[in-house]
Amino acid sequence: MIKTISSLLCIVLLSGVAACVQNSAPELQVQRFSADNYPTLLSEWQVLQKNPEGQLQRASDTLIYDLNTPLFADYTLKLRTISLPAGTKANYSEHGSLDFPVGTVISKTFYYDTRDVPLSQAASARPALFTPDATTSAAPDSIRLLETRVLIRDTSGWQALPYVWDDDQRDAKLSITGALKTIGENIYVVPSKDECASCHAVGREKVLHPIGPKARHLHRTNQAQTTPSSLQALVARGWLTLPVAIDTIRPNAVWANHTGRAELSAEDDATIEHHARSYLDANCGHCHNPQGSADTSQLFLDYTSESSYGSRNWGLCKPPIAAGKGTGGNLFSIMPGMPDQSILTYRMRSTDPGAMMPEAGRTRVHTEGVALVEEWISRQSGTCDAQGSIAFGS
Amino acid sequence: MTVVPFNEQTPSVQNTRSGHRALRLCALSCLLGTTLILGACGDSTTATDAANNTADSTTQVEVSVEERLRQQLATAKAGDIINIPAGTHSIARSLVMNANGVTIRGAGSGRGENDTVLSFKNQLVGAEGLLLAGSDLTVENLAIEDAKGDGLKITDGSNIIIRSVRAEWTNGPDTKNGAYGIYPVQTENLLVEDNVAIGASDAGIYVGQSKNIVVRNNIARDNVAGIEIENSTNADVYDNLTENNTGGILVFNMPDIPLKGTRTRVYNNDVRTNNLANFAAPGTPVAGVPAGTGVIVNSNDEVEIFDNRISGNATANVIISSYFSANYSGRLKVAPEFDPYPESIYVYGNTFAPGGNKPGFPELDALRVAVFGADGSFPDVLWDGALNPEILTDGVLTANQRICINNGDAQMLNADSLNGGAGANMNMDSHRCDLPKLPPIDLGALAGG
Repeated sequence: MIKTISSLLCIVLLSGVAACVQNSAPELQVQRFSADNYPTLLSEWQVLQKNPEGQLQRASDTLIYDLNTPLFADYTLKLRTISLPAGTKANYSEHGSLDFPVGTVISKTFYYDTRDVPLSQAASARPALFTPDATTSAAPDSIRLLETRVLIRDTSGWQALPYVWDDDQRDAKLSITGALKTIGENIYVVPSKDECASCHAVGREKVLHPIGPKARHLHRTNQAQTTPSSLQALVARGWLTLPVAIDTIRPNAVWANHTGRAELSAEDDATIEHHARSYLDANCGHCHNPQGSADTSQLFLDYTSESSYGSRNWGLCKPPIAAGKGTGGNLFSIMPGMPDQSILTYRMRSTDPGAMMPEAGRTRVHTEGVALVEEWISRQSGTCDAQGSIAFGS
Repeated sequence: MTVVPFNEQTPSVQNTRSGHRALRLCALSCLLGTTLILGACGDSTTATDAANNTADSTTQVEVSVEERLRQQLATAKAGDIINIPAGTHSIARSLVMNANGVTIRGAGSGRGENDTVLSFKNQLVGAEGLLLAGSDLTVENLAIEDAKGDGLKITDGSNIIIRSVRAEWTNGPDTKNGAYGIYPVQTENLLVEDNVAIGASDAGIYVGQSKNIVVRNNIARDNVAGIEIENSTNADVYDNLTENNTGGILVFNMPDIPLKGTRTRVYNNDVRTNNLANFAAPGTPVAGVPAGTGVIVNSNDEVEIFDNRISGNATANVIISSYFSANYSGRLKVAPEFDPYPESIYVYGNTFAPGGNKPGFPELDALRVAVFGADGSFPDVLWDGALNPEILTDGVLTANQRICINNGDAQMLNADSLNGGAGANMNMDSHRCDLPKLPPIDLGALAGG
């Protein structure tokens, strides 16, 4: 009888994904290493590895989580896992990353499907690597794993380790200097350990923090009740206790896969604003906040404390400080109503390393992200003109 | 055993467990592109075995300077000296390091075969050539050419030395060049000496949001701004040569930045013929600097300009201006706490040679013609005349807030810009004055004294 059910499950799975998976491999458990002992091979962590059958397998004590609006990474797909040591919990944080205990291991794997090259937004329609609750992946052979970044909370703080997958896809090797890979005709950049810190470090002491697992990125309110949000999944797993009612958490917008301005134009202003601010939060806010590495610019794009910033601090009519050619000849970060005259969107549209934003993590333009922010700016009213200025200069 | 450990000074991954050590040696070799039998990677061999395996399978470890340098930067620890060999090294990605107590040293900053040139001409990614964050850092004796963004950026640290570094865009002035050649920002106790900066589309040497600064014996040419001190306090800028920039030396204060700039001494510099057409991207603060600017103070307080040799700057040898004249975008929307007026500015003992004959903006040239005639020139000092009405007593600044020009027979034009030049005048009565002199910056051992 059990066999029959399994077979049926297989058939059901087959109809949805490319392969039927047998859970024959032994269970994996996340291994933990001290800072002087980080393994060279990703498989040693057992977080994620190729099992002897060539299937991708994750540790049973990991949880897969998703972010509402994620960071754009050249249209690659991502698998995120988290694992807390048995018997530990994270502390809740209203705005920052959840405060995870020592021993927490977070992984983020970047991959794509060769059938989707050159990559575009359409690639995101691929089914997830793992079906819910499965620990072996039904992923087809056309999946190419690029890199897995492992974030470890040890006694001295967070460490970020980039692992680069071999061309033969058997395992990934630690490469603290990062790498350049190619996807079709495009370059894909694996950041070095210190480049990781460029985004993940906070404050003058450059203390590393995870970026993604914040309550506003993890919680969703408007999804079917049958699927818990990633935040609820953490709670259900016993890894988090919420000190606040869950409906008081204001989640970021769920990335909507809008295909362009025409489709966006049907949305109301509040929706566009919420999506755009969520997008800037996820893609820019980790540096552009008062403690981030881009505080030199005084442009703050995190989506938590705008009430304490002047509108100028989030870009409205804000002149640049040290943008150089990144201005593209424009005078303000956001020129209301005029996305074509705004530095913010100019830098999002650029692929010149000396002008583009974000500085790291992409080599291509995120067409849909640009369209969203352009739509938001185009709906803003007002003007930045400097009437009454004195003509000492030109 | 013929394999040279990858990085003797800073073993990239240290480990006490021999098995892991073996794995690491192996993995590093894999990284370096040497041929290895995969099985060896997974074996729990001893370190010696693994080393022998590695040795057997390779005759020589070929490591690009870029990859080696990247490895050294990624594993750098306090006390490390990272030596970069002579030669021109093509770098594809920004070089990034977050560490304290590290010296990065090349063989020389010139253009010869015995010099160390990091060439970013073929850079694919990264907004800087070399990006460092940390304290007790020294970068010296190397050149950074053609970075896609900034050349050398150092942030968030104390006790920083940048010495004998050449940051250059080899194609000459171009708006597409990177913004800053040498760019320490949010630092404290900073020595910038013996450097050369050429071709930056913003500032050759740009010290931003920093404290306790010495900038000396540098050469800056063919940049929009030669040397810029911005939103910084306690800076000494001396013994530098700035020529053929749009503006030679800038002491600026920008709104929206928490650290307010004050107390800068600019002395004993050569500031000549900074008449290069402004090629900054529109919208940047320096896009408002007129070609032909020698030394310019904008919205900054307590600035001394003395004993310099300033010549042939066609707008003016010295410009003193308020934020309202800076030609920045959005300049009227200033936070209440921002002081847009320059105060306590002291110009004395400089040697001026003629300039002011061809101002870099049409409005300024019209003013020149209106006041001095078609063949006339601005005097050595040009001031926009803007005074903060809230701090005037009987229409004048208090003694210590004045703009004092006590420089032989050098004249200053008050352009009266707030009134469209209607009251432009050369009345020096309230400007023949002296101010208390600022103390020198003492960096202690950092500056060799």
